[in-house]
Amino acid sequence: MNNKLLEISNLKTYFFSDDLQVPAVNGVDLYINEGETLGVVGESGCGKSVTSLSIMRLLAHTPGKVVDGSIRFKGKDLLSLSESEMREVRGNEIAMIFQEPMTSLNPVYRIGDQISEAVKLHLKYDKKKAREHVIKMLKLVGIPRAEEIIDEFPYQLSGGMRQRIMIAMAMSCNPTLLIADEPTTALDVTIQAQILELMKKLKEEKGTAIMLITHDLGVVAEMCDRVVVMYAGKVVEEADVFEIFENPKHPYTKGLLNSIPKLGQKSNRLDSIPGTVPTPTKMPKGCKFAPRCSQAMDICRELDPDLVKIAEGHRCRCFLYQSEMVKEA
Amino acid sequence: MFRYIVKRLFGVVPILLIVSIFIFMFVHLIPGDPARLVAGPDASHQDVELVRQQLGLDKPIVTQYITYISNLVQGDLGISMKTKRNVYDEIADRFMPTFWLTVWSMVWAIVFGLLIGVISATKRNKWQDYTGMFSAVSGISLPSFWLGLMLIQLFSVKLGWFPTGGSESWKAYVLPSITLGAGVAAVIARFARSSLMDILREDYIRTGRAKGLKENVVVWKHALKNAMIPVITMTGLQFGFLLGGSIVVETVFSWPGLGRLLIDSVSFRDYPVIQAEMLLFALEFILINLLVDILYGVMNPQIRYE
Amino acid sequence: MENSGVIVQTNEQVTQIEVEKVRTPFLEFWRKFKKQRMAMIAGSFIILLFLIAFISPFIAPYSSVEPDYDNILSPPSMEHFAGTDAFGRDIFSRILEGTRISLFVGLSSVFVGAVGGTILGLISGFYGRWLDSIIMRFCDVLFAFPGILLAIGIIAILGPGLGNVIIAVAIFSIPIFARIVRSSTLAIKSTVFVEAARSIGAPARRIIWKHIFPGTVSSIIVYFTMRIGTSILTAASLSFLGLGAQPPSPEWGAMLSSGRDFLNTAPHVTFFPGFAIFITVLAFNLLGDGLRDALDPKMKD
Repeated sequence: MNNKLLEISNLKTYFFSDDLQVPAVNGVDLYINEGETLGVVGESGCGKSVTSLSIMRLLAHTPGKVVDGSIRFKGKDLLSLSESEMREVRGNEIAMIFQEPMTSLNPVYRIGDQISEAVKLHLKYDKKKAREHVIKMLKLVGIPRAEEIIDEFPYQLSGGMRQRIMIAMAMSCNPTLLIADEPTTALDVTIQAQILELMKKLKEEKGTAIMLITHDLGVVAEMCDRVVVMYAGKVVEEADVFEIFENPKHPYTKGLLNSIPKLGQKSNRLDSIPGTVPTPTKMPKGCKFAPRCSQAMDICRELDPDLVKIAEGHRCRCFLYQSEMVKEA
Repeated sequence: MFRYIVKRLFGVVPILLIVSIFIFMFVHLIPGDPARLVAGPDASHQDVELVRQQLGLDKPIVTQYITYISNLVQGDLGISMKTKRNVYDEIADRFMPTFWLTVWSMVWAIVFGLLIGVISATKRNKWQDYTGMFSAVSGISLPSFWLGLMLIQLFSVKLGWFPTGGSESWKAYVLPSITLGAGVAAVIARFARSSLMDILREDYIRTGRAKGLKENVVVWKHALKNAMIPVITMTGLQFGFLLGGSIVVETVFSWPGLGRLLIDSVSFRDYPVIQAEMLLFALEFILINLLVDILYGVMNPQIRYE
Repeated sequence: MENSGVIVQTNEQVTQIEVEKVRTPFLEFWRKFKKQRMAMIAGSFIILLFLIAFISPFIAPYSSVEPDYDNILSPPSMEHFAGTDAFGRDIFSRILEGTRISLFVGLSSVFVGAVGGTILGLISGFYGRWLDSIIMRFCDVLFAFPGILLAIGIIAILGPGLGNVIIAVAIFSIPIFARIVRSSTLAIKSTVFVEAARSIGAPARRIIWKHIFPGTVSSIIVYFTMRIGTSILTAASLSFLGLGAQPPSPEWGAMLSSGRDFLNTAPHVTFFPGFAIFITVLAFNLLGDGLRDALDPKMKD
């Protein structure tokens, strides 16, 4: 079970505009084991989505560019693949679903055509077989009247239905890794639960690994095996899901957990982390979280800590747990 | 879809009505006595009165309009003052050369315009884009009569490849249709580029790429079909530009079409012909816009299936 | 109370944004416009054209009207940069003279069209209801005729001549401005500040001129510039067809038309006036594109 399916090390993705370069992802290290669900958590702007687009190499049409690091998937470095080799991976071995189900389907093509496009391309099915497969996939994701829906257009479906279609499309070629970028954010709460339930079911049936990007810790608790917390383009803490909730180390992780409302909480006070995420152009010196951190020390404003193992399977980027470093300084 | 078409058809009716009133009033807007104008400056007083009675100009204006419309419906457009022939025949003779000229101009303008627009959009801010867009803004700024004359000078006079006028062989169509289509091709290229660039930013384009589709499939299949919806609307509007442009181009190439007939009629003050031509051009323009609206519905599934 | 920290924070953000927006709209526009090299070149060229229009009588090397029968249809040379025409007149000098005519025709016709269209658009958008329907149907009818055809129709009524060309071109510019101004008016009308002005009982005319009109100015400027190119082109076409300026006027379209008969032997007589029309129209179109990108990037062709 513990085979690393995807391993990202020191990934740096910068955005270039005019004469400015903006480090959106600034040295991310993370891995996903086969068949596990990894939650990637952080506030908006911390580089979660850019990391996922870097894995898919979908940045070519944006001002963004991977400038350093490696992304190893099943042992091969995705960044060194040619564009046509990469196309074999996209939609086939790694599939992706996006945050915006309302706009992620092409309005002028039928649902079935859009799903079978990938099926024909990657699984080399003929027209008839592809159609059968698409109907099977639609039923799998719980679409009623699959035989009719297949010939309908996106505008005829609700947001939740469209996200099911997107999942069917992503799962249609049996990917080994599914990247889900905030798949439920744009949906109603009840629909959110249904979609999460569906993803869980599919994962158990097919053994697909999932990289679930979200800012919702409730979703993480429900879905994930392991969690990576990102802040300002870097991983600040990484641990399995119980460890994160029971024994968070990084002050930022603690802050995130404190900002979730809990049942039975005596005071109705909600702790929020003071301040906002620094913009990539105005990064503070030293630890990027120091300006918002209640436990910040002098060294935190001078040096940026490394991501250090503090227990088995638990790594944290904070000087509080690196006493030797503090003493030296 | 059916309801959509019916709605469009009814939308045209008021415009048709006002246009017909407009054109009917045309003769009345000219300063001076319309009967005198039609009879000509050399006609005697009796002749003028005779014309007035013949044309019914002595009757109330509403009656005149009703007569005008009922004649129109029967295909009676009056008599040309210059040739004394039936205006209907006069126009019928000239219709086909203009029709084919505009069709060929449109065809090449769409092909080249789309090609340049798509290349510019996909090679954004590269040399292909700059070249394409500079050619396009030049195409919009080119005086067609100048372009036509320069093409004649180069390809007919110097190189002798194409005839300087006439409409007999396919060769005669080459230079006039290039001249007429250049401006439209340029407008289509600019518009196709901007629509396509908007669409290439859409989420479903990213979905297509995430599926592992080739970039060519993403652009030419997924993006272009969406971009075609606004582009077709734009192209329809350009037909009016083409009809207007044909007037100039036909004069340059001595083309035996409606445009040259109009200019000849204006210089001769052949009012029945001018009136009929104005009506015909306006009708064509309205009809084409109606077709474009319907085509828009066909392209857009949300309208097609409702 | 509990969330006071968050509230303070938002206030800080607001003040920060306001500080950043102290730049005046004009400076903001200039900062964007400066970057557009083509539009800058076009703009400088247009300034040069205006200069020529004013001082052409003093800088033209030859008279634009006096015939010179020793120099009939002579090709371009050091004495005559653009050659001479069928009357031996220096084409270069005549083109310089013609600049004034083209700029005058372009500016005045678009100005009249813009004023008429803006007023109709403001009324239509602000008052709505039946006034809006009538004005928009009127525009539909004008749109039912291809521009140049409408102009020819108007000239058929008024008779040929440059003055009538200006009127004709102005009339077919009206519906374009009316539609643009109407749509901006509708957008601005629904915003809060107009609501506020209404609720304190400001008269309609004051609301229109103080609050709505300024918001439509940027799109009017862009279309104004772009229409000038089209108008110069249309006016030249009409003169070429013999319906506008008449020879011996050094209007570019008329000059070109008179050179047609000598296309085989003296192509320069048609080439240079046509080229002058082309680069002038090109300059206005490039400037218009640049203004559009700097003032309102959302606006489409």
